[in-house]
Amino acid sequence: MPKYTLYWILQISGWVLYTFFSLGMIIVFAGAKNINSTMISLQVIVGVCMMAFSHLFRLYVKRFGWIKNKLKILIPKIILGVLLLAIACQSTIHLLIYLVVPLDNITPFNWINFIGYAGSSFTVLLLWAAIYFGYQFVQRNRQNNLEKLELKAALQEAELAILKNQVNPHFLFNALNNIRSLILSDPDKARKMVTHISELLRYSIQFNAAEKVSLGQELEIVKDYLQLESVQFNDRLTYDLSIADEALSVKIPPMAIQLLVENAIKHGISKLSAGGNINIEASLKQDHLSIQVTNTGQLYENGKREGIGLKNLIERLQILFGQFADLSLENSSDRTVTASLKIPLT
Amino acid sequence: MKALIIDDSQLARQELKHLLKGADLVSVAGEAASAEEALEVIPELKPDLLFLDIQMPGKDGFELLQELEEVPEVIFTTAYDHYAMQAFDHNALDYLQKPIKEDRLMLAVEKANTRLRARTEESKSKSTLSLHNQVFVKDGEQCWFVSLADIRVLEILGSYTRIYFKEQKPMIPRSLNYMESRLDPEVFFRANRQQIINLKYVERIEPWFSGSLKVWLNTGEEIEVSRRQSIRFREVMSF
Repeated sequence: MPKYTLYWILQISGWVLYTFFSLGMIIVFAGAKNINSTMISLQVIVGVCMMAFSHLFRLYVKRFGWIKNKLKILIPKIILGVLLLAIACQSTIHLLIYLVVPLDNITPFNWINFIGYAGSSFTVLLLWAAIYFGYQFVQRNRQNNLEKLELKAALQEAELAILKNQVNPHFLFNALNNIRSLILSDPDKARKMVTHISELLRYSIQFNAAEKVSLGQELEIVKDYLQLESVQFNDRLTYDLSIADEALSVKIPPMAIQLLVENAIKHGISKLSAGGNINIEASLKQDHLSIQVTNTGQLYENGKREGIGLKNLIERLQILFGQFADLSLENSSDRTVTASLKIPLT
Repeated sequence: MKALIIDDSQLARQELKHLLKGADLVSVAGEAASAEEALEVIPELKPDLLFLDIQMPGKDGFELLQELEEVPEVIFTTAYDHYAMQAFDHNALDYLQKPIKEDRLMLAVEKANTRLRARTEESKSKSTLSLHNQVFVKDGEQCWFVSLADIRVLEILGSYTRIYFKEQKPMIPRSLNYMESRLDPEVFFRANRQQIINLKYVERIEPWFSGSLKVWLNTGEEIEVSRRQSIRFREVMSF
């Protein structure tokens, strides 16, 4: 059932019940002889006014988002609000029964009675407010718990995906095969390559999806990775980095740049018989860190799938930075592709 | 066996050459760093065996094989390629994962040698493809080496040709006319504009309308032979 319908069902049935209850009280305490058309009209006017004013109160509360207030502020606000509401409601009722639809046999107006009636309206409306806000709080709590669980699940999922994708097996086994070959032809270089591969593996095992690392740390790993890949690609892969010193300490999600570089090689350089170049730039802008990974090659429209790696990275960025981080991929000239990453400074 | 190593990584080629020093059956006759390079080398080198990497710049290993008219024995080498390995496992093609285990390599070489010997019984001098020749076929995620003897029907499909063998009917990027010119006319007969049939599979022949013939293959397919071809068919089939 939509919340709107539920509200109206409760609102109407509640105040109808209240009107009958009031008539019942009159019978019990003053006897059935008091029930006449005037008394019934009077109680109906009261019931309708209470319903109208409680509804106006709800509109007001919703309009100004009272539910978002802390309990400490909300309770005094509700008490004061309901008090004003009760006075306004009783004034309207009095206005109606004396001026607009004058009823016969009504005791003449006096202030003591007015205050008494306002006091009873106050109690009833306060009860109404207690029910209304109580329900809102329970709902909000449930919603919050749900959101928390969802976020947790998303993080875990992202973590799992990263664990699975952190080091591309095709790259890993090619690197090991190259090292095996180098052991015979160039043992010194082979030793260096083993060091690079250990650094890369250590780094990829260490972090978890929620953590951040400094740009400097990440770039060390990217260099290890590029060293290993340039052995695989011989002279077909060249690379250069231009990194602003003050950017090195900015925190970024681990493996983010590594992933962009890996994609640049996989979809760019590895497709080109003549090979190509990879350029990594990082600089500080006013409120964000800007990273660009540019490779030789072109994006083609028919790119049927936006690899899992890139999708994961976008998800991770959203979990860690909300809408403030940004990743885009485009042809930056007729022979280069650039991936741009924006990380907010915190 | 004369072998050609095709791999874009120089170190990977060097490593494989080193491993093959221990294999007496194989002599490495050449290397290629890409499919394009291999396509230039293969016609003059005429290798018996290819060690073929799949992921390479430009054309990949599968594309190379599809362009070859005569496919030698092939042992695929790959580091880790999920899609390719699915295709292999499906058809038990021979593949080695890099870094290559020495005993697995020796096993693959021996297997290739056995198959090759079976194939070379047939004379190699013919300009047409002999029945023991194989073609490489890739259709979506699956791939096969198909011996010509297994093909029952070749059917025109736009500029492609669909071939029927065993339970499969994949397409190859060649025209039916081209296939006709390359196939042995004593075995493969052009039944009509759309189809070529392998005469070894013919089970029953019956006269059909206005001088044409209908042929039943022993695998259940029914083929109508056009009127013009029916005359030729009678000539071929009568001694």
